Amino acid sequence: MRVALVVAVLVLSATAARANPFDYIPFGARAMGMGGAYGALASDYSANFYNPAGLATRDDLQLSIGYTLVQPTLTLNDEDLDVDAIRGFQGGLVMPGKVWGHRLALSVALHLPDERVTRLRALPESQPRFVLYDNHPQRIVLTTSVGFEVVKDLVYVGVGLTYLSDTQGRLRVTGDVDLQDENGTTLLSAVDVDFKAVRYPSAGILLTPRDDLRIGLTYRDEFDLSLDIGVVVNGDIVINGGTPERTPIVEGASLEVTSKNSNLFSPRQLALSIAWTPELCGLGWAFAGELTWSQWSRFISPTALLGTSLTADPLPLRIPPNPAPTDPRFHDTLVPRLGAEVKAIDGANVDLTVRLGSWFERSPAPTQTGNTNYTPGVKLGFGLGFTLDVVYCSDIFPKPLSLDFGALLEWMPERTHNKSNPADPVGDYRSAGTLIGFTTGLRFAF
Amino acid sequence: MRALIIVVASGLAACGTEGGVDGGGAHLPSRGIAGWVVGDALAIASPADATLTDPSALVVGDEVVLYLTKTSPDGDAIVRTTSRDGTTFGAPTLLLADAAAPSVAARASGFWLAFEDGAGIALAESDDGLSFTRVASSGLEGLSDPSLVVDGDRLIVFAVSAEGSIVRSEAGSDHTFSAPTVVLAPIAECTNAFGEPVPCWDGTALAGPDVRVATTPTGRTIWRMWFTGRTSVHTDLGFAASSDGITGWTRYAFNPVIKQSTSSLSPTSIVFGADYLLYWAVPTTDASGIANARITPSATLSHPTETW
Repeated sequence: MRVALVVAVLVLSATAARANPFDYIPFGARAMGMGGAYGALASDYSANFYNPAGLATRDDLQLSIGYTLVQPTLTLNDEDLDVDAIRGFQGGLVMPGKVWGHRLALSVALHLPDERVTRLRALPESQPRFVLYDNHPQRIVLTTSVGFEVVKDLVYVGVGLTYLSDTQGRLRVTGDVDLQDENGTTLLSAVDVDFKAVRYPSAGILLTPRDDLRIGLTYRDEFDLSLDIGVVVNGDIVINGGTPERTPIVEGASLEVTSKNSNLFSPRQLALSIAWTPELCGLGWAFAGELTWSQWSRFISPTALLGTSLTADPLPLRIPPNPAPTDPRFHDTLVPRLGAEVKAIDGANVDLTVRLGSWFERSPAPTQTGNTNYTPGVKLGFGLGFTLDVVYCSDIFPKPLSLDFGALLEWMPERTHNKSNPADPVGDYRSAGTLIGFTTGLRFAF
Repeated sequence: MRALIIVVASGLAACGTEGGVDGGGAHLPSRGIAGWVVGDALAIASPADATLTDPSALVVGDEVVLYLTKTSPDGDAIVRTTSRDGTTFGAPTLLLADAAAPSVAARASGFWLAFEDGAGIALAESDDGLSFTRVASSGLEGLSDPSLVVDGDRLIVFAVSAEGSIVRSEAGSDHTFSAPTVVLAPIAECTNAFGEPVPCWDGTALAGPDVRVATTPTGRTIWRMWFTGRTSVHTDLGFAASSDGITGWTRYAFNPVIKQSTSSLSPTSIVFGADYLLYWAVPTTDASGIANARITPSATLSHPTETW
């Protein structure tokens, strides 16, 4: 209960919000096996992403821990760009309880990359890259959610918050710059960096009008992490610095260089999901579908906006202005997902559930005919997986121990980009790719 | 719980490694416009009183063949030299006397040569690239610095007009050339980064075109042109391209590409193995007066993406 209180405090103390790698790969082994069609079924830690309302359908406390590895092979003109793998530990905790006779569940979920916690990067917009893969999945995700049963066995709602931090920093340098003698230059520096917490909300509702039917609706807010760094230099430009003959050439000179950019954009999403869990031919089945609308039209250029300001009167120095990044002109997408699973073995001590799923996503990016070279393509994904439930009752594990495994194949067919400017620095190119990976995990129920 | 997460996160992050070459920055497309690494001037043996200029490069088999103008007290002549590595060339051999500014292009069987013969642009042909026979005059008078493109039965000549523009003319199998039309002209005034008018790097005259018909990775045809741009102060090298070779010639946004302390003239570019090579003439007193630069595939640059 104390842990539950901590989670509740984390949830309730959040004030604003934002997103994640699960726009690109399913979160959790079961979700991966179902092709991400998981919004109506999720009740484990992955419900933090898929639908926090599903948490309240769980009766037992569950601890999950696992690992995910997805290796991309993303090519331009058949040459591999060496995009980093998406890899890291995944897991979470679901803590159910009851309030006024209604179910309540608190949960925390974590995706922890094992190469870097988060990477912020601003490349030139002309550099070809798979903009939704090269850096977007390289971030930690920490989500806390709460699910509540509003109408007994019928209506569940949930809200969640995901955390990250903006970075704002300045290096401030003051002193004298000696034009003739480096020993006459005296500078003092101060660093002021602020990692401001940002949070983005998600919310969901789940209806269970029949025992074998679940309908969910999930909202995930837009996320955009800002990186605002800069250098500020204030001082005098002198000769004979550090000596009694110090002579200022420029008094009160200042140079400020700032770089602001948007990183790790994740679109606002609305996902409608449905699951039918019938008993057919003596076997327990689950058929699931999901349709996700993603507002990619609000995608913000990840290119840095450079600001420069120089004051050095009377010296005739000036710095040209920098052009603003080009509008990426992304468009919204609708992503259909389908999945099915069946409990193939329903034994006394061992259950085996196998599953299969698929999804399709149009590219949110237009064909890259201009200055920009963001190259996401159409995606066709396949997932498969299994869950092995082992009944191994003991004082420590009074309930079945579950081993989950999910595998993923995502295929991006070749896409051609013909430049409207024949003298374009990059020129025409072909982009294509595949992602292959897996997620595995252990679930402990108490 | 929060403390536990932080501790675990910190530990795992510390054990991690930075992966990838810039995490997606490997093997970026290389189309042979920018990124040149300038090498030493070519060591081509030539008589002390002769200078070599106007390079025209061609890849024949596994060799780079360089056609040059040799200027000596005996007059201008076209000479030929070869290299196995694109850098070390043998002694030039004489091809044509009283001729200059060669441009050689391969045809289905053999080679065409366009050159200056004093009156204008002349043509010669050869089966082996070693022995050229002059054919009837092209009729392209008053033009200089030809660059020849062979497209099936068509011969297309890009050359420099008296006004300092680059013009285009083409002929069918009868070798009768059409009236030249301007494809690229000097632009007197450009805009600097502050939006202020400034003289263009090629504002006075253009010269030395080298046109190649390339295929892009998507299968499109692109007409590539290296050329010399002149002002009263500088002579530098720039790049332009067109989708059809006739209209829409567009300058590279970051021209001039080659800007050195000495004047740079008459560029010529080839794809040789996995490298792009660029040769040009420099008015120096060193061994050959032919400079060169190279773009080689690396961890961050792909193999040539446009080939010809």
